[in-house]
Amino acid sequence: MSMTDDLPEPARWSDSPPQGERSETAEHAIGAALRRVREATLPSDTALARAARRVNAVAAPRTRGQLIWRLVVSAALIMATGGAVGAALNRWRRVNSDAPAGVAPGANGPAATKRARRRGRHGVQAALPSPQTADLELPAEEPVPEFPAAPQPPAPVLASPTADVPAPASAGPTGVAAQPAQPAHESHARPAERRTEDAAVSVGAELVANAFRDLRSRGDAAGALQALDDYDRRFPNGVLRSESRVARVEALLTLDRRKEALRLLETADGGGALTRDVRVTRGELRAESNRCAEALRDFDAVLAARDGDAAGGRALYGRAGCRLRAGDNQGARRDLTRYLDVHADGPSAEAARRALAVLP
Amino acid sequence: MREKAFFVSRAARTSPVTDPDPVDSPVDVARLYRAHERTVMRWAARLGGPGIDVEDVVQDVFLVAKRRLRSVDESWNIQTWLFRTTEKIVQTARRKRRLRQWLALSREPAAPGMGAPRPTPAEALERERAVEEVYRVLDRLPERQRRVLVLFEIEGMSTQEIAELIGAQVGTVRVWLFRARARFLEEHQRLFQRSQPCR
Repeated sequence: MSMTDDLPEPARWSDSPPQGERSETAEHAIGAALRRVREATLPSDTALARAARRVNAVAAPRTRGQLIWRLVVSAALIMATGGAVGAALNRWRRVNSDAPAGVAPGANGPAATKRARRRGRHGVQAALPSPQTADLELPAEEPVPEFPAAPQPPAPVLASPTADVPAPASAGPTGVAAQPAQPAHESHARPAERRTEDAAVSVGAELVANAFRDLRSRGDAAGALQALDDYDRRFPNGVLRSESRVARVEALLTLDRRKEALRLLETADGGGALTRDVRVTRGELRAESNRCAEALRDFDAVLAARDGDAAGGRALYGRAGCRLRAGDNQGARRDLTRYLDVHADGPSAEAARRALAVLP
Repeated sequence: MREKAFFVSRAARTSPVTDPDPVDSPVDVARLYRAHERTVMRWAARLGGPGIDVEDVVQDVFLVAKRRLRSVDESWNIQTWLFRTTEKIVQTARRKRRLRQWLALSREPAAPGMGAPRPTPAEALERERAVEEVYRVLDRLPERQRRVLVLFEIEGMSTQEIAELIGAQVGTVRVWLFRARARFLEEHQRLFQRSQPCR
C-alpha cells in the first residue's frame, strides 16, 4: 500500500456547493458544468428501449451483414489493386524489356518461336536486326570502277556470322527500324492461332526473324528470300516491311544480285529507311553502275554527319573513286588522305595508299 | 463496493472449475443486458461525450459480450470487462469522429437520446453548451487522465472503486486524478478564460 492510499479522498469539483457570483472560482464553475454533464448523460428510458431493441433484434444480422459487406469490399479492393499493379507491371515490362540482340546463331525450335513472338509484341523495331554496318557492309575491296588503284571487285560476301549479331537498337542508328510504330505493338500477347492483329504481327515477326536467321546463321540466302517472299505475300503492308526490305537487300547482295539490290534500295528513298549504312551501300552500288552523280549525293549525305565511323570510311573511299572517274584528282586525293588519317587500318587502307601513290 | 458480477470465458472454457450451468453457459446476454444496460449506456455517454452514438456503443458492447463470453466465472469482475470493452469501443468511435471532423464530413452533434427529463429550450441550450465545453477540455487530456476524471467527477465513483474497475492501485489513480485536474484547469483556462469568464 502506498502513502497516497492513506490520504483522504479528494473533494469533487462537481460536488462543490454553488457559490455567490463574486466568490465563484474556476473550480466551482467547472464543478457546475460537470454537474450539467452528469445530468445530461443520464440515459433516458427511451434511449434504453431503443438500445435494447437494437441489441435483441438487429444485432446478429447487422454483424453478419457487416462481415459480408466488408468481405465484398475487401475482395473488390484486392482485385482492383491487383489489377492495377498487374497492368502497371505489364506496362513496365513492355517499356523496359531488354530485347535480345537478334536471333542467336542456331536458335530455333519453340524457344526461338517464343522469342520471336515476344519481339513481335514488345516492339519489333527494337528486336529485329537493324541494318548495321556489319550486316550490309560490302567487302573491303568493294569495286570502284575505273579507280586505278582499287583491287578487282570480288563477289560480295556478307560479314561472318559472328559479326552478324546486331547491336540493340538503342546502341546503333535506328535507320530502318525507325519506322513509325504501329498500334499492334501496344497489344498484349495472344496465341498465334488467334486471328488478331497482334497475332499477325507475331507471325510476321517470326517470318522476318527466320529470314535473318537463314541469312546470317546458316548462310542460306535463298531460304531467306523465300521467307521474305512469304512475308511480303501475307503482309503486303506489314509493319515490318522496312526490315523485310533490308533483309532482302542483304540476301540479294549475298547472292551477288547487285542490280536487284540497288533497285530495292532505290525504292527506300523517302521512307525513313535510309540509315547511313543503307545509304552508303546504295552509293557504292550506284557507283558500280556508273551513276556517280547519284552516288556522290549518297556519299556526301553520309559524310555530312561524320566520317569517323565505318560508314564514313566507306563513303570517303567511294567518293574518292567517283571523283577520280570525274577527273577530280585533287578531290580524290583529299578524300583518300582523309581516309588514311581517320581509318589508317581500315579495310581499304592499302588500296587507298596504292591509289595515292599513282595519283598525279 | 460496487456490484461484483462474474465471469469470463476463455480460460473458463477449458477449465474444469467452470460452472456448467446451462443458463450461464453460454452467457445469457439478455440477463447481462438487463443487469448492466444503464451502466454501460452511462459510461458510453460520459466517456464519449457529444457526437458519440451511445446506442451504437451499447449495441457493440453487448454484441462483443455475446461473441466472446461463453461462461461465467465468479473470480471475474464482469463490470471491469464491460468497462474495458465500452472504453475501447468509445475510443474507436471517437477516433472515427475525429477523422470525420478532420475530413469536414460532419459537425459535432449533440449526443442523441440523452437526458431523461425533457428540459426547457433555454436549459437544453445551456446544458448542451456546458457539455460541449467540458468535453472540449477533456478531449485535450491524455486518455488515462481523461478516463479517471470522467469516472471520478461525472460518474461519481470513488478512487477505490475506480482502482478496482480499471485494475490499478488506488494511489496510482489518485496521482492520475491529481494530474488530470491540474491539466483540466490549465486547458480550461487556456480555452475559455480569455473569451468568456466561467459562469
